[in-house]
Amino acid sequence: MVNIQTVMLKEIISGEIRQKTNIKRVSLDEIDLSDETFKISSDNISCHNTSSNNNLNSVNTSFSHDAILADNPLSSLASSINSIGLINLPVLIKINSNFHHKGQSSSCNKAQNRSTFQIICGFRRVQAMKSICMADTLAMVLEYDKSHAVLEHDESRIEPDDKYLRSINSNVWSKDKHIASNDSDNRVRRTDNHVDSMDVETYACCAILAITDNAFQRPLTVMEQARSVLLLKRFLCVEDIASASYAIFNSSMNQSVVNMLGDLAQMDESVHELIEQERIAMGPALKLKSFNTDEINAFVTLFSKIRTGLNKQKEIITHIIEIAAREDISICDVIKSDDIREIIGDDIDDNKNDNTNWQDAVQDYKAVDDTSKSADEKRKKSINENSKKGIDENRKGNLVRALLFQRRYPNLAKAKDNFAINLRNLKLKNDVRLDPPVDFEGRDYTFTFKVSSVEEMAKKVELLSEIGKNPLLAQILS
Amino acid sequence: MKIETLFMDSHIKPCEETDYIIEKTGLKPEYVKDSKVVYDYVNASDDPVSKGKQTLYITENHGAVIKQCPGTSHYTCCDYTILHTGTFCTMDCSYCILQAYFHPPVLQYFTGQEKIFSALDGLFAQNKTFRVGTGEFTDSLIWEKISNLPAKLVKKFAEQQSSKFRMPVQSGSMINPSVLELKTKTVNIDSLKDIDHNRKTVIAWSLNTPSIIKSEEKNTASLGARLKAAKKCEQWGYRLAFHFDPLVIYDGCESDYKEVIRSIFADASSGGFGILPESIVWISLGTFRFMPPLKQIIEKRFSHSKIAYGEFITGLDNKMRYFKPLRIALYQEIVSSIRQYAPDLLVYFCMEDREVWEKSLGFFPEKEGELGQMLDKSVLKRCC
Repeated sequence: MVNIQTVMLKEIISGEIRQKTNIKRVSLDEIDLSDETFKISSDNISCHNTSSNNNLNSVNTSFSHDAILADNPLSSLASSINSIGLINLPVLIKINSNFHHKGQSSSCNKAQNRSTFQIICGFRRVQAMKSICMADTLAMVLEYDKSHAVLEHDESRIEPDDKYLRSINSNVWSKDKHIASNDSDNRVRRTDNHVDSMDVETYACCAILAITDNAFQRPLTVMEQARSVLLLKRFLCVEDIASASYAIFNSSMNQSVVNMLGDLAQMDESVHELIEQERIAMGPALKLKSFNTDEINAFVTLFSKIRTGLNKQKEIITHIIEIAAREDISICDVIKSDDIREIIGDDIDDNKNDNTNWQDAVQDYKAVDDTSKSADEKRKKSINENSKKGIDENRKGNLVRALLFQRRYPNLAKAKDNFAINLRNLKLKNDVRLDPPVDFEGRDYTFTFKVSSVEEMAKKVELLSEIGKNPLLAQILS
Repeated sequence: MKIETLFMDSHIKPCEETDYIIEKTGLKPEYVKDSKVVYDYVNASDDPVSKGKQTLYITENHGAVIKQCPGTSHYTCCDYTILHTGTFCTMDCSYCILQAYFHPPVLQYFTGQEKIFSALDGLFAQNKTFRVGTGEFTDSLIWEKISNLPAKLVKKFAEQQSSKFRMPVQSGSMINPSVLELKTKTVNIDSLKDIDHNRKTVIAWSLNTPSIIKSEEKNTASLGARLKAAKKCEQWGYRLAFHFDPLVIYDGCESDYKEVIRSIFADASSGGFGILPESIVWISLGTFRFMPPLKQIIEKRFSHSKIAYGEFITGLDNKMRYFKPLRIALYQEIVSSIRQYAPDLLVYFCMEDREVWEKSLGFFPEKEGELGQMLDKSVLKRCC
């Protein structure tokens, strides 16, 4: 059976779409910067920036370009365009001039109604040009003519039972409605002013151009990939996205990865920001997808205060979930506990009791005996000292991790503390090491030492013999 | 769970055995040429494990009928012999490893009782005690409601003395008799009532505390019902066994397990079932342990269960186990409690190491096969 989606995809990817583009000079005022439907890049230019940059249009053009560049986040690009010119042209699509803008004020509408082009590729370039008050630019303009053959479906090529394709248009729009409804819970930040006026082939063509334009210039970040998958999922199934990934993303993805990226794209924007700041990786972030807003916010606050690697992120999340389950408390209660707040420098919520401190928190969850007390005291002292200094985020991450481990595995943590104390008291010399069995499950303790001569070997044997007489060793081995 | 769908291999000729199952399930079988049809049917479900419990597949066992328990590395095994009569279970215990063991998990009944009996004849001919169980890959007595196999097996083991392969001895008892152990969490014992079992069948119950039964052992019989059924079996002359496996560690578990032990032995006037220690062939203990993939299944299928969130470490066999001092502490409490009621009763650990044995029971069956021999001796003592 011919997969019509694949046929369409091939036509777009094969470059035939280029035949439908013309290079034109376009007034920058006619370009709608507020529509970020096809924006893939993870730069920090939000709608706010766009608005403020748009305001630059009204700035007196007698200002020097240099003065404007100084405050512009796109200054290097703008400077380059200003001095060298535009090397890669933006790709635009001509849009219906009487489109309706969703959720925008009437004052906005007046300005927006002049726009007749939507950006597919080149958001930063257009913004940069606007920021230096350029009046117009050359651009590749996609003038999609539905009567033209390239993307027109030939019904004879569709198998009768290819219901998916037949419903593809309606699917796209129903999904748009879904996304529009999600706007209210802040899950989609991109605005898509013109999607309603597009048919699916045009949309597909634009989406793929937008993604490939970025992906073949540099590797996409995780969030860029996620946003791209979300765009593609409006008209392609996961299997097709995976099979076309090499052509579209410049790298291969399997279906599982596509699904994960799709899930990630649907998550809260605060999680997206954490990912973009490289404070949390995709895998750990996806573990949060089933939680409610309060719980996600608590995790986001925690991870915005610490830095750890992927495995430690997973461990921290897992421990928090499992501590909550073990102790019959909420995840928020675990994260907002005094001891964690003490470490991360606390502003998880406003209800902190200033009288509580690390010592109290430790006493609350752990019965401290004489031997482990000194380990706790040391930890406490270390935290207090560090909080005064302002401990770095990596160290905070390690402390949070250690604290959670202690709470999740109280007996094992205590055994490890006791072993550490006994080992210190055993006063082994630096070049002799004693390791316990992993998690104390086996019975074999391991002595490690290095020798470089027979004489040294004899000395080590003597030393080990002395250690063997120490009652502390018997205590450890028992 | 109720069986809702019945598949049967189309090449299996209808016989008394299959007719009995079809009649008891009250379902019209869908005949399949290939097991893939059944597996696809189960896998198409959002919850294949639940679907597998509701789907009975009458098929043949293409592998070995009798297998040795694979045990696990680094921990001491009891050298059990498995009689492979079926797979999976209609009950739904959160911790059940069968959820992760079969791909996909399907309730399978293996036809061909002649093949089973022939394999048993071969076993009986070896002049060696075998402890044979059908409860490794399924619950032994879930089948009692729809199959006559459990009752036939009891009779088969009872008749081993007269087997042409075995020489009776003077007293009429046998040298090295084999026993059948039917291990269950059900109370499906009715068809075992009037059988001349010759004390060659041990009916065993897996026991747990009422709170664990309620939270983790869905669709199983209550503790009271299990012990009541055990008492009945004792009255019918059967030998009994109890398996405290998995022991689950939670706040207050020690006193709860002690209460279960009291219920077994204390007489009716004290609220117990008064089961006599001499009726019990052995009691095994094993704390909860699991292959790591089971955790995700528990989290997905039993979202309210906390059983996977104990203080587990990775054991030497790469299974998750409770931190050893916690295991030892619980074992010590339970052993001590059993000893109060039955000082001479054989208590053993399923898959534990020397340290646990020594610290909890005071000895370790060090030699290869020594634990198995201890259990065999108990068979000779209680079942002859």
